[in-house]
Amino acid sequence: MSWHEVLLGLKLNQVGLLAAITVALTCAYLGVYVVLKRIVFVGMGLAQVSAAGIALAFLAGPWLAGQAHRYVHAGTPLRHVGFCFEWLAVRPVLVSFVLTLGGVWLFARHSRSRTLPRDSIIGAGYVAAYALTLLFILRSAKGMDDVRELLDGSVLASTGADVALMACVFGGVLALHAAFYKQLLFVAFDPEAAEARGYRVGRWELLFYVTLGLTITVAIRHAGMLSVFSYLVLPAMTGLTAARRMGSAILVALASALASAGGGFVLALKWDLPLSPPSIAVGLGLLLAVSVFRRSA
Amino acid sequence: MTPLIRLDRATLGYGSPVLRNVSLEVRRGDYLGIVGPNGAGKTTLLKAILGMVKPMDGTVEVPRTGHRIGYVPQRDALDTLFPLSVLDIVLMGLYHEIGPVARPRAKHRAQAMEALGDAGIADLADRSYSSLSGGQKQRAIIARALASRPETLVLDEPTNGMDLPAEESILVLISHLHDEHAITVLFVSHLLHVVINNASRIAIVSDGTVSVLDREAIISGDHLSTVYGIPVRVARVEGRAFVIPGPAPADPAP
Repeated sequence: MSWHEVLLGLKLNQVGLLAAITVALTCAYLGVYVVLKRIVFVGMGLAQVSAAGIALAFLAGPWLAGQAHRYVHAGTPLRHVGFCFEWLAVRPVLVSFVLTLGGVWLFARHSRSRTLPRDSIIGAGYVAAYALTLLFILRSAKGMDDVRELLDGSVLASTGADVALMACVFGGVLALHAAFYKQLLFVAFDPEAAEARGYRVGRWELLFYVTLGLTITVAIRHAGMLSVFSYLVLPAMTGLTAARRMGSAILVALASALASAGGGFVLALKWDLPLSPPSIAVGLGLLLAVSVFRRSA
Repeated sequence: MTPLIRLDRATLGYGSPVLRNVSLEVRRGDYLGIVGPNGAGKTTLLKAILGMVKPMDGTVEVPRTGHRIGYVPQRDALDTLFPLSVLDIVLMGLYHEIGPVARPRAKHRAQAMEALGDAGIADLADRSYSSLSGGQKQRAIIARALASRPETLVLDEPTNGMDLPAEESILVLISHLHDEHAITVLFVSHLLHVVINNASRIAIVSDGTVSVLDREAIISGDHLSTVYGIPVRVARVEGRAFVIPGPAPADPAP
């Protein structure tokens, strides 16, 4: 594709580009905490659990739609049950979020287990979620199309309503994090001193994990597992490599996420690729460049 | 004098008791050393005083209003991966005063700088916490505890893993804060020699109980051998006490 055609493609896919950038920026912000709290595997586990939820929704969608049709035509009061089924059938994110909350409960709750290392619990949750995803996808009507959508997302198919939903969810998450920046930072850095100071550490941790789970759920539905996980890790690594202060690290992470999403989008159009690999390549390239620059400085 | 902190026949633990029947009073201006072997329950006692562990039985009375406690955790618990300056960390000690949504203002920064001055590291305010030496890191988290101008300072193993000069400088700093700023000090250490020359009273945590003794009683008695399970004696050199493991040498033949 020529550069002129790429420009035309960008014009035609403005909504998709906006969706990709929104996902990238939100994941990058949360990713700084994910990396600092050394819970990258938690992020990966939650992403897989969320994907299993979406796969379950793909599988259950036709069944739910069938039930909805049956009950809606059965008359009052079962009509309302039918509407509920109909509502659920077109919102896979809800099924996914419920499962992700289960993942949050599992991974966060056992973080102080004395009998098992945390990684092993996350690993068990990850393989279970992976196996379920595979099972649900193989049984779903669309099969391989669903696999590709789960891995690479469907950002190009995003509508204005999708972007509005993302803006609401991600805006809410970021507003909460901005409002309670001090508390979340203190609890992440020194939970013991925070607890001694009267902070309810468990509740702040729960707030963090629920917002992370919600973000991953909504992001995966549109951008796919690969992009979401890479946005959670690579920009944060770049930010923390480049900067020596929290604020600067977040800014660099956001800039890196913006470049990865935008650059990846352009490269995907140019060479007719799925969106995730070029975005990851740009993210890795930036990380490499910053690391080399840091070492030589 | 009314005690500042009072434990009355308290049973402390996490589901199952770690310490039983603990009775302890800390008065204003005390310098209490809390010592005992590793795993004896020193941190449990400290967490009960900080309100982080509720007593399973008995009472733990610590006034929460009008009595500020500054807590200095073990510095190894802090992750140096966080890109924070020393000032950022000291400001954390003022977060509860700043309010839930607001950002630190000039007066909070001034208060944090004052605390850094008290800890003797005002010149390190803009340095990265991760770039500091062990002693400087310890001073930074002491400054964080001082930022809220506490009446009581609770320190958990503040000299752990330090070389001799750093250890000595931290002990001098804590004694200075106790003597000059009239701060009540609770100092936890598994090493008796670290607290024996500074604390006025010493709480020995051992075998699931806590016994509080005056410094002189510790030095002159044979409590330590009982606590540590090996012969331990205390020798005095130039007015300072030193803890020496092993039996006393036999008198040389005349």
